[in-house]
Amino acid sequence: MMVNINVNGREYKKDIEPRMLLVSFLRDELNLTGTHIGCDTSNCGACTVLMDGKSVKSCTVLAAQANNHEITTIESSDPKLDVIKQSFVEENGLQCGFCTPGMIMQTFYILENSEDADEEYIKKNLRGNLCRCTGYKSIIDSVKKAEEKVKGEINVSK
Amino acid sequence: MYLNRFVNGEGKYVDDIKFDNMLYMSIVRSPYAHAKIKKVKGGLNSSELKAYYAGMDHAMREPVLAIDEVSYVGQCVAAVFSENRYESEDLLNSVEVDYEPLDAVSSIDDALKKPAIHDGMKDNILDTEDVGNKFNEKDIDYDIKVSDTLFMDRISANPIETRGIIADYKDNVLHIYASSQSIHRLKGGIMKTLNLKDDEIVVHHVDTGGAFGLKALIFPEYIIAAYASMKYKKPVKWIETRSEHLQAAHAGRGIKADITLYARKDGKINGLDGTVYLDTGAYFTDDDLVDLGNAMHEVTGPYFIENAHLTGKYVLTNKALNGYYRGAGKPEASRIMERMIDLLADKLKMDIADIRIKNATEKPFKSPLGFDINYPTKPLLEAALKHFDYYNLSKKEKLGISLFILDEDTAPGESCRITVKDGKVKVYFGGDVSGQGHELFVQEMLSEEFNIDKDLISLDYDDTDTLKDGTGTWGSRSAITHGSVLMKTAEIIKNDVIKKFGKYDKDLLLDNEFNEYYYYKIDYNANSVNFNMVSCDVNDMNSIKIYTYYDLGKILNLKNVLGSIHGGGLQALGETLSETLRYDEDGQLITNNIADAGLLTADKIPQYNIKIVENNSEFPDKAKGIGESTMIGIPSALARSIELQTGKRVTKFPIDDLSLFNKCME
Amino acid sequence: MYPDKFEYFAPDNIEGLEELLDKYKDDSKILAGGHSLIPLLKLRLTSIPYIIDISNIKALSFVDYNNALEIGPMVRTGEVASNKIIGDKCKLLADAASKIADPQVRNMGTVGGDICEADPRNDLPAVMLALNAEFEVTNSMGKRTVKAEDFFKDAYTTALESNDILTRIVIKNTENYYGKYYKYTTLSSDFAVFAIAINMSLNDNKTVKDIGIGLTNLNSTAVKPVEVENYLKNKKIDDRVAGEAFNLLLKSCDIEDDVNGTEKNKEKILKNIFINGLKEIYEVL
Repeated sequence: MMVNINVNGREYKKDIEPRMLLVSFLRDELNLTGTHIGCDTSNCGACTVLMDGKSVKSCTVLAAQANNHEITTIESSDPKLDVIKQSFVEENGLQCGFCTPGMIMQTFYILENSEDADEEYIKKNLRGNLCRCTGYKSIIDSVKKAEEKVKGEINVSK
Repeated sequence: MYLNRFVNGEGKYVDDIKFDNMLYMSIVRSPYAHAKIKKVKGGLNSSELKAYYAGMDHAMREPVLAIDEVSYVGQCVAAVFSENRYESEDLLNSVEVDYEPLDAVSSIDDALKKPAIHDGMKDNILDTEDVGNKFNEKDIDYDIKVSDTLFMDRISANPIETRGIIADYKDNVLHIYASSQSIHRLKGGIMKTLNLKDDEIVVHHVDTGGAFGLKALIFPEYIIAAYASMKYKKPVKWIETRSEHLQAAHAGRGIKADITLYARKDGKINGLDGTVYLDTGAYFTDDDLVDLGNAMHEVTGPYFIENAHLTGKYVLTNKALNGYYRGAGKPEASRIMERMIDLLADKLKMDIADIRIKNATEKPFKSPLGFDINYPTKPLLEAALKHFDYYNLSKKEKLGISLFILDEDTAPGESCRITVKDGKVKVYFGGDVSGQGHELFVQEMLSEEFNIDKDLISLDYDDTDTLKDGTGTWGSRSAITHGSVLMKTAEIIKNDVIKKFGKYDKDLLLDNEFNEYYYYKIDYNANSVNFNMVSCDVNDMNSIKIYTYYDLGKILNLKNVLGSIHGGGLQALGETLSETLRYDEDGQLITNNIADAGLLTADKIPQYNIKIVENNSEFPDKAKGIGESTMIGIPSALARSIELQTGKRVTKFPIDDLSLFNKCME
Repeated sequence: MYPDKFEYFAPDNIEGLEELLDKYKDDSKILAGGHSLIPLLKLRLTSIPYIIDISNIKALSFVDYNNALEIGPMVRTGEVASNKIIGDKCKLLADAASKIADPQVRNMGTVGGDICEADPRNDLPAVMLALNAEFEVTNSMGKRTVKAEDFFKDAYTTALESNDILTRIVIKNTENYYGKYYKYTTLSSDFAVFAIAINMSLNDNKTVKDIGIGLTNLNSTAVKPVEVENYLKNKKIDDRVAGEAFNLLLKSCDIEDDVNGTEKNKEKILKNIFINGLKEIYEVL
């Protein structure tokens, strides 16, 4: 079947099998390998991307379901995403890096959807992302730092 | 900088690599824990590839593809290949296998009672080993004897990146790209199994998405992929699914121990004996020796006990094979001792700290079980208790404590290559980093040593040609081995500059080309003394407080250290409370996904009170290890804190009690 | 990890959907958010020749209030948790939706999917029972209304025939009601070990005017313990009444030893949650 999916602002028209998962579309068809696969039961969140601004697990979405929708991945050049990435670097919010793209995309979603995400809110909203290396502490610190930066920028621009 | 690579999604993990004409491999796995194979038709099966893969020769090695019989759920029976991932899974149905199910053994206790699972054996004891000095209780000075049985169930390593490999055979050389802690070990394993010569194989390291001991091993799937690439003359990729991981990836822990302590009324322990059992799974692997070896040799830990003897039994079960998991026998050994010493304290109505002080030492010593302790243990214990004001705090919080030795697997040393070219410094380690963030300390140390900017330094992917020899990242060794060989190799480079120009300065370094390889040999295992304390309120998961008092020698990079403590800390909570693999009595795995395997999420993190002391080690970088400390120190202390509140002694890990830590969602 | 082959349809109106269901019947399955179906397809635990994605049908996605709360089946559970009308009118539903899985799953999973899949561990069936919800069911022959208590037949089995579509969820017990979803999990999984949905209103004299209760994963499907509801009506809730209600509640439960714990341990936890829950809701009202 033909699909037309907007990924990071670019339209991709592709002829695919209906059974193709969105994560395969991104990784295998478009070579956007930043989105990872960590499980087969929608638990780990390594495959998290945004669909029309909402975070979803791309291993449990058919590419067909994303037809005519907008997908944002870790490869996006959105400036807010850059702020988040930089915060993860500064706070050492990663070790092996495998869960990182999913964590960052979920952070992006958290910061887009909450005016004032406190630590409890952040933890609750990272429940769908597993990390085996960091014990999450530096990840939560990274999200907090990104939030401060994003807020700071909003205040400055006001 | 490597952090930028990962946050931008530019890591190069094995599944990110694509070659032309590449085949994807899927594995037909046994649905039975134990069955005769009456017929197998289709796919690549053992009628063609008949091989066994353990590093050591042993009668009970696992066949790469099952031969006539399957002995655990998930065992490889046949492999199928397609240029499309989805189609390779479709092909699984094309292989016909007729099974005749047999009785299965699904636990150590089961195995000790039931008939042998393998023909030609009289029972399910694969091997037996004795350590220590056998003693007669009549000959030792004791007033009280306490006995108990402890059990630490299996745990799956569950790195977020599963196992994976690409084998690419071209121009008569087999190129392997794998998620690995040691490409040299992997090379050796594949060479041995497929009878390859040294110049017929090159193993390339790629980004590794977590390893936790597991990825130091060799697996049947890797051999099958390598063979298939040589057969089809095409690259072959295998990426494990999480379901396969839970079923078939070698699992850690799986230790049971029957232990007796002999002590005087004043708390001094004068004897320890008992039996330690390892759930080896269905076949022998080399890892069994390390796991049970550590779990026996290290039992007496930081305490000087004059008489100690243990019998070790390697027990066959119809389960996936045993493997390394963060600590590999060391956490088990410490937990056996720490749980027993708490029991003894209770029987003697002694404080758990006092009894440890009584048995800790003023001098280094060698234990009767053969464990060399390089430092006195009592000074650190006393300093830690004082630092945390233990005697007052224990009146306010339900405290468990744990004193332990971290045995760092420093032998036989490590290799390193440093190259300088085009103004950039590149470092290659023979012990492959598997996602612990080594680049941070590499940059910190070399920028200081060479007096250059951190951004000019990177840790690069190595291969078995770049580095002819190398060891690995495991056993809490990297701070010592990698740090030290880095210092040594950096010294050589600096000397090269001085030899050439009569002096060292950074421009002379960066404007020229240098390339040095060095293998820093260490012929013994170092160790260090450490302490943990844990408190909690059993009705509140977020109440858990972890106190660490670790002697790390010189800290190479604080972010690395904290990352290791926080990451290992949560793994230790998982190990204590929830993480395991569950099997039913027919040997069927009933843990179906990574959440049921017990991995904890971000809302479960504990509070930390971290004190690090820096008593320099004897190595060039003055460091001591850390990687496994949390796994050793935290579980027994947390168990103590819990049992103080429930009144039920903890002897089984994970504790796995639904009523603990009120899990009614807020 | 990857699904078997299937044909895919994504009609944009109900008539188109009805036609496809009439044509393919049991060989077809409706894909709403896909968070139950796609994992089953990926693990190849099921294979379905015709998959019909209903996300393009706008008429299935709405939240309205006209004397009753009306919700379209394609509303995502994340939206249910945060929707202002639902939050104002039905605390129980908003609370339960916020406790389903994790944010990413809630962004795809739908209220209709959670109900129609009827996995005994799904959260919303019990909530629908507690709310005495009514379901508008449509097929090519017309519409009918099915009460929640007549809807859930067994594990993964509902009153829906192969050509039926859940088109509207109607909740009348909203004004003056307060409710909460008490969900007990293991440490690591977000599926309910068991859960209790309670929706309650009071008379002026502080006795229970109406109460709805639904139980998750305490039997082969979600259960409505009518005897408990009847017992509690017109009573003031205290420890004795709550304790007696719990004894009746146990008759609707089939609790066994399993990987999560022993029957005894689970019963003890359940008792605590139920009694504290009843009292908490009673006190809020």
